[in-house]
Amino acid sequence: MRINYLFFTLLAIVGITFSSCIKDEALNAEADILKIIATDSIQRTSPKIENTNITVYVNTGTDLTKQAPEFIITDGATISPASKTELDFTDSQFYTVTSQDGKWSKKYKVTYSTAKLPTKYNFDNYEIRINSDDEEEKYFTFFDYDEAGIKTYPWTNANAAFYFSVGEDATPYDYPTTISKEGYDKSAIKLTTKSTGFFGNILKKPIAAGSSFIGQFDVQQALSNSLLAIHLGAPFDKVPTAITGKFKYESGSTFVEVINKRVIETPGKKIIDKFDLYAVFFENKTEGKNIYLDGTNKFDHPNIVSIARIDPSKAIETDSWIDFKIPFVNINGKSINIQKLKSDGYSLTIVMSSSVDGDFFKGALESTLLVDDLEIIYEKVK
Amino acid sequence: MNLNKIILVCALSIVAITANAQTNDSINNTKIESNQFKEFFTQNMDYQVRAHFSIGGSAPLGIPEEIRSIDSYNPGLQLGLEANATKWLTDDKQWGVRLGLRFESKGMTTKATVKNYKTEVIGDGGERVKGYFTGGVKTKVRNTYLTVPVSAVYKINENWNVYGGLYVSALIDKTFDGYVYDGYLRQNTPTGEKMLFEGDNTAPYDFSNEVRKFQWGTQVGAEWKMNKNFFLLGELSYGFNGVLNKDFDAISFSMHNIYLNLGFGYQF
Repeated sequence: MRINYLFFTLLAIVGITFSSCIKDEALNAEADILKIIATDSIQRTSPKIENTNITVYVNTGTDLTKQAPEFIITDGATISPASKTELDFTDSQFYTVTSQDGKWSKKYKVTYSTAKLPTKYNFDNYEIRINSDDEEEKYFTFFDYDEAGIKTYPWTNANAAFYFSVGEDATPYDYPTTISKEGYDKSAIKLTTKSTGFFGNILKKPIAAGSSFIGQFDVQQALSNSLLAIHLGAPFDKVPTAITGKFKYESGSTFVEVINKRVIETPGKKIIDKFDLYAVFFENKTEGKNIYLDGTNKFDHPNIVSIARIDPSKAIETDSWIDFKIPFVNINGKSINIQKLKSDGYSLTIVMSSSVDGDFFKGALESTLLVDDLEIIYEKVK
Repeated sequence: MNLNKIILVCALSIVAITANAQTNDSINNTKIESNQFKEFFTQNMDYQVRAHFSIGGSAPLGIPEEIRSIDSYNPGLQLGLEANATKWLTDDKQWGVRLGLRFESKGMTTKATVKNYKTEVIGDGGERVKGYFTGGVKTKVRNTYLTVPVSAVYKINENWNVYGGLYVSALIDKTFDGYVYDGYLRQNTPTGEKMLFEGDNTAPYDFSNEVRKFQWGTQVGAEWKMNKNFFLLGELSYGFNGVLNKDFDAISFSMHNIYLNLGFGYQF
C-alpha cells in the first residue's frame, strides 16, 4: 500500500510541475493585406500583391484621382487610411497595417499603374528596391519604361525564395537572377544555376536555375508547390511574331538531379546543361475570369495562341554573343480577335532560364546564361 | 544563487564532516587516526548502487503562449545508473549526507503546434535563416550527463528514507534537433516574407551544439526498503539552468530539465 502513496505523491508533484496549462492564444502578430478589391471595370488584369507592394493594373485614361480600394487584411489587424477611403492614386499611396497585438506593423505601397508591357529590353535599368519599411531588398530588380514613358517592373524571378539557401549574408550578385556588367552593350541580365545549399538538399530541391519571366511569383508557394508559384503573363495588346536578342551561355560542370528522392551529382561536365528561352501568347480570360499560365500548363494550356521557343540545338555553349530570332508558331488553330486584343484579352510571357529543366530542380551548378537587347517583334494592328 | 558558492558549500560540508570526525579524538597518533579514517568509511556508512528510468522533458516553465498544443509526447527509454555513499551523522541513523556519482540520459520526443514561434535555422554551410514559424514542430532531445548528486538523507522509519539536495552535471553526449512541418515561416519578423511548408516539405533544425555543457539543479526523492538489501526509489529532479546556452536566442523561452526518475537499488 505504501508504495502507492509514494507513487501518487510523486505523480502529483510531476503533475503540478507540468500542469502549467496552455495559455490563451496570443493576439495575431501578422499584418498582411490579403486581398485588394478595386473597381473591376478599370482593371486590365489581377492586382499583384507582394509582401509590401501592391500594383493595380488599370486601363490607360483611367481617372486615378478618386479611387477607393477595399482591403482584406489579417484577422484583427487594422489599416490606415481605412479601407474604402477615397484617395488620389496619381502617385502611389501608402497604407500601414498594424497587427492585432499592436506590436508589428507593415507599410504597403499601393500603385495604380497604367504601364503597358514594353517591347524592348536592354537590361541597363536595374535597382535595389527599397521596400516601404525603408529596408533594402537583397537583390536587383530590372525596370523599364513603356511606350508612354511610364516606369514599370515587368520582370519577375524566384530570388525571394532563394533567401532560404543563402540566408542573411549574401550579396545581390550571389542570387540566381542578377546583372552582369559585361553585357553586349552596357549591362545584361545574368542567370546562374545555383546550389540551394543545405535547405534545398533537405527539401530535395538541390538547385535553383537562374530565371526571369514576365508575370508574378508567388513566394509563399515556392517551396511547397514550386510549379504553381510561377504565374506567367501580362496583358499585351499587340500580336507578337518573334523575339530577338543576344545570348551567351556556358554549362556548369557538375550536373545535379533528384532520382528516386536522392540527390545525384554528376561532376566533370559529363552531362551538358542547356538553357531555355521562350515566349507564350495566350487568351487571358476563361469565361470572363482572368487566367495566367503556370509551370504545369505553360506549353499546353487550351488558351495558348502561339509559342516561340528556342530550338534545343541552338541553345548551345558559346563564349561570344550570339544573335537569336525565334518566331512565334501558332498552335490550337486560334485566330486573333481584334476587339479582344484592344481590350487586353491577350497576355504574353517571356521566360529565360539557365537550366532547361530548372522547374524540376535539374541542372548543372554554375550554368550561366547572359541575355541582352531582347525585343518583341510584333505586327501592327489597326 | 551563485554557482561557485553552491559548490563551495557542498565541499565545505564534506570537509566539515570529516574534520568533525577527526577533532573528536584529540590524541595525535597516526595509528588511531588511520583507524578513524577507516571507521569513517565503515561505521554508520551505507553504500548503494541503483538504476532508474526517467520520464520528463526539457520543458519551459509554464508553457509559453507560442505553444498552442502538445500533439504527442514520448519519453523514450532514458536510463540512469548511480553509485553513492551515505554517511549517517548519528548512530541512530536519523540524518545522513549522501554523495553519489551517476551516469544518466535525459530526453524526450515531442510534437507541438506553435504560433509565431521565433526561431533560427542554421544550415551546415552557415546559412542563417531567422523568422517566426506557425505550424508543427517536432523536437527530439537526448542528452547524456555525468552527474554528482549531494543530498541530505532523513530516515522516517525502518522502511522509508527521504532525501533532497543539489546536483551538478557535465554533458557527455548531446542531441537536440527536429524539424518544422505543415505551416509557414515569416522571414525575420511576423510581417516578413511568408513561405509555406506543406506536405513532404519539412525544414530541419539542429541545436545540438547549443546544449549547455554544465547543468546544476536539485533533486528530492524517497526510498522504500523492500527487504534488507533491495529498495525502490522515486525521485524528482529539476535543472536550475536552461538546457540550451543562455546566449542562444533561437528559442525565445528557456527550457529546463525536469524529470521523474523511478527505479530500484541495492544497498550493501
